[in-house]
Amino acid sequence: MTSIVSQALWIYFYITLIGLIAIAVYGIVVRPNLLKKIIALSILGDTANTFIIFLGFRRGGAAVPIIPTIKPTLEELLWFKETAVDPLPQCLVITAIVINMSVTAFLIALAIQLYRLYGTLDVRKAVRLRG
Amino acid sequence: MKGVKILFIPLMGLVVILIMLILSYGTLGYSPAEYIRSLGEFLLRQSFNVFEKEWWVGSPEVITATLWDYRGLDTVYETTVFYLAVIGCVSVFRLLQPKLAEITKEKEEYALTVIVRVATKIVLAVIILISINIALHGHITPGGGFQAGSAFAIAPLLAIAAFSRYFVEKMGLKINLSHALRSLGLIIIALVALLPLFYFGYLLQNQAKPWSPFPGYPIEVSFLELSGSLFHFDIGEYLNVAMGFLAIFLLLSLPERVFKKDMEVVKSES
Amino acid sequence: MEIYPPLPPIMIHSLALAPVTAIVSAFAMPLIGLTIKNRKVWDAFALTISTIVFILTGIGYATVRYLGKPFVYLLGGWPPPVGIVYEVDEFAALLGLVSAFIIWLVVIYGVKYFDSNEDGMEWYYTMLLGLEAGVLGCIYTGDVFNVFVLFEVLSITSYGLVAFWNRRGECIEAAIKYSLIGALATTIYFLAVTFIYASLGTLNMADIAAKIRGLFFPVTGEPYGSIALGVGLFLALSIWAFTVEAGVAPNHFRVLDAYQVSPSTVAALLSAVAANVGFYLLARYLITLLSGARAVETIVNAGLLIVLIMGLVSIIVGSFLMIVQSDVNRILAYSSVLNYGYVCLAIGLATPLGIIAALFHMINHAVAKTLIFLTAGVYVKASGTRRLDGMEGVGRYAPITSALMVIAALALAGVPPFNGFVSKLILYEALLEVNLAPLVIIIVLSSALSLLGYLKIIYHAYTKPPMKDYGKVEPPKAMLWPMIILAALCIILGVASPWIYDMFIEPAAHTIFETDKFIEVAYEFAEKLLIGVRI
Repeated sequence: MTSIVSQALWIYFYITLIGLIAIAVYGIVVRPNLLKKIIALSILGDTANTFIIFLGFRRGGAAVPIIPTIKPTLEELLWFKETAVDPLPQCLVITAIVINMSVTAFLIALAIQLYRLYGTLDVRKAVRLRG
Repeated sequence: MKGVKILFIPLMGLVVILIMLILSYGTLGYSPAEYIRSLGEFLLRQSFNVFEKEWWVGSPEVITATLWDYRGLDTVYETTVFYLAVIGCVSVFRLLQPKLAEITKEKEEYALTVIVRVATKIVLAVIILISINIALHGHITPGGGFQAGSAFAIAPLLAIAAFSRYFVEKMGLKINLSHALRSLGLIIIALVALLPLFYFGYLLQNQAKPWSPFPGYPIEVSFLELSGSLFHFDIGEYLNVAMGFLAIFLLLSLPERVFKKDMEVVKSES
Repeated sequence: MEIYPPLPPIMIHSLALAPVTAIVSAFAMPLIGLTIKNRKVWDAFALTISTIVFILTGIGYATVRYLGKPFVYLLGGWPPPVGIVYEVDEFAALLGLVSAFIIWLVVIYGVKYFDSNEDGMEWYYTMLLGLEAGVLGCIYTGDVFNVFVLFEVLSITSYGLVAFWNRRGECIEAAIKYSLIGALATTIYFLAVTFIYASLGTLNMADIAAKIRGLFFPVTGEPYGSIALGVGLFLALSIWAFTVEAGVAPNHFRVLDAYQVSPSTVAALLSAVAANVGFYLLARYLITLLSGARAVETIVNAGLLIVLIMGLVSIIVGSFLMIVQSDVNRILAYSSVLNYGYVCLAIGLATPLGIIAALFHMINHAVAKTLIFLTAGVYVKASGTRRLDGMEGVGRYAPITSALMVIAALALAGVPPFNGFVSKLILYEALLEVNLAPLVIIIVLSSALSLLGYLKIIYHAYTKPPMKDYGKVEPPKAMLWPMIILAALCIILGVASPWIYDMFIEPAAHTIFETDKFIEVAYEFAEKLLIGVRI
């Protein structure tokens, strides 16, 4: 009984993540305001990060992947290996967070410069001003 | 165009339902699983395993070990992505007359209350100390170069918000200093990555391996636990990220009138 | 323990050093820019570094040809499934060499193209060196997550270069469109990597190819769950990401504005060098890694069909919309989309002749498109406008440049004896081999339409009488020599094509299909070095 409930909760978690991806793609493609596009891109990046961390999770007993003693014995290492979560997705996520943040910073700089030159952040008006 | 946009929503709904079905019952079985991938188990076991020294890194922090040693090239290039993004921002915000950006006075009547100013000064000192701690202990506790640099970045942001951009520049944190220190951090990273090549080892190598003549970076220097090249990488990365954020915030906080004066010159030329 | 055959150390480390040299000099460039304010020093530095990288890629190509099998470089000393490796076969080495060569020529041209009082040149050179590192790193790597990171290096430098003239509204607006769609594509690719890690448990390209065929590397073991769906999702999302990068329809909208408004050197680089990375990765993923394996056969065939249809749409869109433009850079942008359609069509066929046509056309298009962008840049610089009716007769003041533009136009349109004709001929043979004769007719028609587009430029720029006195249009030697070298290459690649085909193109294209050697080379390292490891 609990396993069906917990499987249903995990499926709900999936649906939320995939729904967030859909909303983010809608925001980037459809909304005309530049700031909303950048926010939607940020949401997309964060959702992808959450997704991969979720895939590296260990059900039933998850420990932080940091060895708590400075001189571990072999049994402590094996116990650590059996209980810690997957470190590789976390490493990929650190990389992805920094990269998404860099692109967002650059896009914000471009948005500010566009506002200074054209006076608007609406991409439809900017296209019309360009001619 | 409106018709296409209305079609987008049910289309995305269909895609959501399809992907949800595929994931739940097809690709991954019951998720999350009770076991992790065996590559992850290898990394957990071997990164601080003194008994099997061919595959060890010497750092109890498995994630920093994976970032800077097992997958070091990814991290070096991610550093360059951040660095190039800052260069891009500098290039987008550049002025024809850089002298216009040097503001020499601030207006007294816009200062915030004394509570804000004193509290901000205390918090700034604490932030900087904590960020240095995160950077230097990145190979033992959760942390590292990026995390510490991001923590440091709050300090100039708070100072600009609570005081003014002129206050930050008066403290000595000008944009040229940020360029110089950032390049210093990146050169540290580049040297630490390239040093093994002089011993005919491999690029980015950390510890000694039987198939490479490089003896490895030192793990312990008297009582300090160094974990090889991870410590040096963390310091270089901290300088890079902290100074990169400083440059971005200094550029973003330039007032509008500076840009307008610069554009007047451009318009009069064209 | 010796794991490499006895080669001089420079040959072993050259392939890893090429992108690293470019990126270390990009680190040092702002320091030089801040301390030495002399533009000539910056030019000399950029020229030296691009020459060094070109020589390193040449040594790398020689190493791979000498070995006869893909060259594996262990980064950090870690064997394949555990760490990142560079796995360079002849296709990748040749493409890297051609890219470094074109970047070198464009740097030489750019020295005199920008005015001597142009501001921000230190940032231009930094981003240019970063672009070079990104392109070479993307081509040489053997790890799918490393592709994501280097893809981002390539993308962010291209966003910065498109926005280089930051006081022009059109440049900033084109850069925003370019950056947003590019950032969306790379985040989608990150999701794709998620699925491949979840279902196969590895991030190494040779390991992915092995697991689908049932051969298991040490340490990473067996796959999890159903391979077909995981690989299918991975393939679909990465095709989306790479076609946005490559600029094929219907993902080509961002590319048009970016090539139109950016400086001519930047447009040439993005069009000729950066787009080829997308095509190389498509060929690598669809053919080397995934084809020939029974488990994922239907999905891979569906992916190839999608790529083929996208190529066809690009050809039609590019050729028809090219002739109604009135801005010279936009005509060349549509021409780029057209040629990307040819390459996409060739990759979608996935036959040996198809890949030979794709590789040859990638190289020919890079050479000829760079030449035509550079000559158009001379015209734009002299007349001050990109509009065709604002530069009438400017070509008469620069006869050498106009002759070079005619050579480039004929090469791109596929007129013998230039190089465009040869690669299109191989494409026709590849199409006839699989009984797709109507597509041959479409390609011939589109070539004729594109010739109309180029003739439009030449008509306005050369045949019409000059509308004003343009002064000295003929460019100085620093700008002229790269264009002459490219035009000479157009002629040589066309005339000597049978020899070049046998010596360079055919062996390189054949390596895309040799998945067994690709897996075996990496497996040797994994087996030898991971003896006795316990997970």
